[in-house]
Amino acid sequence: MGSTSTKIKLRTSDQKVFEVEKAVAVQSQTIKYIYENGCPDSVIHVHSVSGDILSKILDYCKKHVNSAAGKEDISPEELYEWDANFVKVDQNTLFDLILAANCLKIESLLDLTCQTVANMIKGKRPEEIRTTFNIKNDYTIEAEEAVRRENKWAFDMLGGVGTMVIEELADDTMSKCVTNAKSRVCVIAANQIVMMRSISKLANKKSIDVYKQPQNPTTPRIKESVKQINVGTGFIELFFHFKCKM
Amino acid sequence: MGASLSNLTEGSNGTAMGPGLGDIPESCVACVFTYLTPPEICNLARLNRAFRGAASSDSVWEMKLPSNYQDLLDLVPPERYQNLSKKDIFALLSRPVPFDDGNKEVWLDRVTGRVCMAISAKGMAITGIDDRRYWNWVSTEESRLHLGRFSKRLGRRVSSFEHTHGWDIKPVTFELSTCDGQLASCEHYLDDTEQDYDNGNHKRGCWIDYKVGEFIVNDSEPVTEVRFSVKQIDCTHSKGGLCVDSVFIIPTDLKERKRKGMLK
Repeated sequence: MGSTSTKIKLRTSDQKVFEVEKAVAVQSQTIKYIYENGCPDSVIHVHSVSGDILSKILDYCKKHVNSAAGKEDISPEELYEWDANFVKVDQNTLFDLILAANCLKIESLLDLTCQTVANMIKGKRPEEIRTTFNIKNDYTIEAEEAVRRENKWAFDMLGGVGTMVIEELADDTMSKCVTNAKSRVCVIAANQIVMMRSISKLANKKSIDVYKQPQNPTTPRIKESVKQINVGTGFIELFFHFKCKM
Repeated sequence: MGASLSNLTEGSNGTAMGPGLGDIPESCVACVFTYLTPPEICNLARLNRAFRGAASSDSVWEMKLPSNYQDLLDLVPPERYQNLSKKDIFALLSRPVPFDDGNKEVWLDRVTGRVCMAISAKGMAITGIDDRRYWNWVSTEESRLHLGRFSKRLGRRVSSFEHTHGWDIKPVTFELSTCDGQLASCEHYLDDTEQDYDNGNHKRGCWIDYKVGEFIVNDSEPVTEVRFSVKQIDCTHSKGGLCVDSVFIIPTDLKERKRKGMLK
């Protein structure tokens, strides 16, 4: 353990030089490999990383090395908090960090940043994701509809153990279908359509009543209750208190 | 680093854009996907063509399938899965796959990819099942299992509730045990009066889930045999009108998430 005071020099794409403790620098598998297989005294070039980004990355590595070595008194929860704050950056920086973590092979940082991106994707409809990340839509309307249908299985209604996920909804389906009077959710229980509600009315409700259509029109309608509504990524989940089947 | 989804981000007002979601290498996109559920990945396919490609890649879906997915595929005729991509295999297995003569079903939970199983009443040993004074098989339309066929017309509700009685007097015992010594047991009154709604005491004909217990499977070899039962041995009162549908075996945390109202 006597080599902890060894320093490694790193030069970034914008010609900035950083002198870093070896234990911190070798958090990067790439740097570790170069250091162990090259001349230990020379400067290591990290071509694809800028000074700003490397500086941030070294902060991350230092924090994690110190916490693991017990040099810093920080609980796992505090480290988790620290990580969460570390990734509160603008998108450009976030993606720069991903590219750099990938290039430098720092697995925990790559996981952290990719999970952050995943969290920005969760719960959003496609058009919201496009807006968030400035992604260009190159589908025709027909093609997008075909892709929606092709992936419908992931959102299909289920019965039995799970909750019911009602037919997938998308904003353009709504706006296209207003004329077809289809801006409604079909709630299917026991293989019968029992309710139609407009989506906007559902989203703010805590619970709704569902009426079953009886076979004989003169018998009274049977009321069931939907206990909870979650509006999710392109679908609405309704938690029913009664059984349902496919 | 492999191909990237480049040229898919557009800047606004002509400002220079840094890297975006469309610029990171495929391996990083795959890393992002490990933190997304299958429905979320399917949702991404709708962004644009390149994302559709990334969201369909075999390497992504191989990670979402359980390690023993081939065992599940063995229950399906080979021609149904021979040329399927891993994504399509996941889709196939996320719908219930019947086996054991239709008495059981197995499927993957869509969100977690974990294996779930249901066993129908037909696959269970029921004391007195052959005596029509005690038990009748009722229409399968209302079952929570799929049993190969279901009709779309309005089903006639077979159970009538005037006959349900006697279950609030004493509880029944639920038990489960495994061949490696795990045991769980509990008692429940099969009486759902706490779930009454405006219909008053009228029992509404809903299936009620009773949790029997939990068990842990540490290893696939040797096979873990599980036994479960529901019993009430008591001849001091009469009881009747009970419908038994099925037993579900699902991963524990799935039930937790369902109870907390999160996802499926």
